[in-house]
Amino acid sequence: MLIRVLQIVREQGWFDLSQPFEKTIHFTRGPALWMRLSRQGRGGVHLKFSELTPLADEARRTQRASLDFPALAPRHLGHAVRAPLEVLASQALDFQAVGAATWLGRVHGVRLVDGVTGYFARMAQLSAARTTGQCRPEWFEALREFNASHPRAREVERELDRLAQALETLPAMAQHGDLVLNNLGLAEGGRLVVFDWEDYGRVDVPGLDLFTLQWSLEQEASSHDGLRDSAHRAARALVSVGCDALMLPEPVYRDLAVAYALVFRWLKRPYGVPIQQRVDRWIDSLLETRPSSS
Amino acid sequence: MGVPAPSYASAASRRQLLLTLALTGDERRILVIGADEPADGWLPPAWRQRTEVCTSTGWLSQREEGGFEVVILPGSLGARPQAGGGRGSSPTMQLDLVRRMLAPGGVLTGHVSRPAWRARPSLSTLAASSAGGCRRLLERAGFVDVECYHVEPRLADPMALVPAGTPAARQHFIRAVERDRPQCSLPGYLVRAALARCGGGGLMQRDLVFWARRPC
Repeated sequence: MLIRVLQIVREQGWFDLSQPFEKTIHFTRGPALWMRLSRQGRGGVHLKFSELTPLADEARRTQRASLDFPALAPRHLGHAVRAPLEVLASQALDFQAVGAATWLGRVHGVRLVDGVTGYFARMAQLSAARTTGQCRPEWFEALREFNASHPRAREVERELDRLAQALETLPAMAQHGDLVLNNLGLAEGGRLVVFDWEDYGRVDVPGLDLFTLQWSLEQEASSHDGLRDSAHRAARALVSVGCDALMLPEPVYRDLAVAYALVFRWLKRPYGVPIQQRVDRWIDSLLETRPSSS
Repeated sequence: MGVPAPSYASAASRRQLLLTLALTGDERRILVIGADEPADGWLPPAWRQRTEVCTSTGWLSQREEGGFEVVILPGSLGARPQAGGGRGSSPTMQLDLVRRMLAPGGVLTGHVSRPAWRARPSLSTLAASSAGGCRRLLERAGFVDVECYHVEPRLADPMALVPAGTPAARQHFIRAVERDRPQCSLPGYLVRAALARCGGGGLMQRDLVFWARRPC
C-alpha cells in the first residue's frame, strides 16, 4: 500500500521523494492510516490514506479549516483518488506535545489558554460573518437516531430535547469536533497549532469544542497527582474565558454538558468499542451529577 | 445502528495490515517461513489461498529459486533452527537462501522481537532483534532497500511504525515520552526522557518490523 501512496505523492508533487526522507506510520482505530514524510525528523508532509473509506468529505473539511484558521490549522495540500486508495495531504508541522503540565505554564512566554481563547473568538467571528443563522438540524436527527439505543435512553432523550431547544436560538458555529489535548501542539515560538480537522463543521453547536477540551484537561489532571487541583482550576478558568470568547452564557454551556458528550459519542462512532466505552463512562458520570429536578 | 463500517478497530486487523504495507496487493505467490502460531491468526484472509507455509529454511535448498514474490519471516530472523535439529546454518546463510527464493524485485517482510533476558538469548538472536543488527544481517545477505521500524507499543497491538535509527524516531519518542508522562513515575519519566533525547527511544520498544527487496 505504501508504494502506491508514494506514487501518488510523487504525481501530485506534494513532497520531493528524490532526496532521502523518513516515513513514520500511524495506525488508527478507524478506517485510515497516517504517515508523515520528513527529512532529518523535521517538516515534510502529513498523509492520511485509506482503502476502506472515501476521504473526499474530510478533504473538504480540512481544506475549509486551513482557510478559516490559517494560523492554527496545517495547510491543506490536496486529495487524490486511485480507487480504492484515497490520500489526503497536508503540511506537517514540528511541534511539542501539549499536556496538563504545559497548559499550566508558559511556553516562550505564551500561555496556551490565550491561543485557545483566540481560536474561540475567531470561531465566533466566522459565525457572525457567515450569518447562517441557527444551527443546522441535519446532523441532529442522525445524532438522535444513534443515541436511541443508549443504555440510559430515557435520560439521554431528555438531554437531547434540551439540546434541540438550544439549537433554536444558538448561532451556528462550525466545531472542530475533536478538540482534545492530544490534538493540540506548540510550534516554534509557542504558537498553538491544532490537528485532525476531519470532523470540522460536521456539527455547529457552540460550546462543543470548549467542552471536549475542558474534559480532556480534567481527565489528564486526574491522573497526575501533583497537578490535579491546579488543572481543575485551570479548566474552570478555561470555561469562563471560552464562554466569553464564544459569547455563550455559562449557564447555557453547563446546561448542555451531557448533550455535548452525546454529540462527541456520535462523532467518535467509527473508532470502535474502547473509545465508545470511555465516552459512555463520562456520560454516566455527568448524568449522575445532573440535579434530579432537571 | 446498522452494520459497522470497516475499520482497524481491532488489534488483529492492524497486525494483518502491518504485513501488507510494503506490498502492492497484486502479489500472487507468497511464502511464510517459520511461523510460531497458525498463520490463520495473523495472515490477511485474502492471502491464504496464495500462501505456502513452511516451518524453517531447511527445506528451501530443495525448492526452485525465484519462485515467490513475497517471503514473510514472522519472528524468525536469525533465530530459527534448521528442520531436523542439528546446529543449523548461520542467520546470514539462512537469509541468503530466503533471498534466492524471491523473484527479482520480490519483497521480504517480517518481524522480530527482542527476547526476554531470562530466555538467555544467543548473541546472534540479540543482534538480529536490534534495528542495527537486523539491517546489517539483511544487507549482508544481499537485500537492498532495507527498512526497519520500531513497533509502538507492541506487535500484537500496533499503533505506530517508527523508522529505526533516524532523526524522525528521536523526535517521535521525545513526543511520546511527554505524551505518556502522566502514566509514569518521576524517575521512570526522567529515564525515558533522557533515553529519548539521546536517540535511544527505540530501546524502549521490543518489536521490530522490517522489509527489504531482492535486487532486480
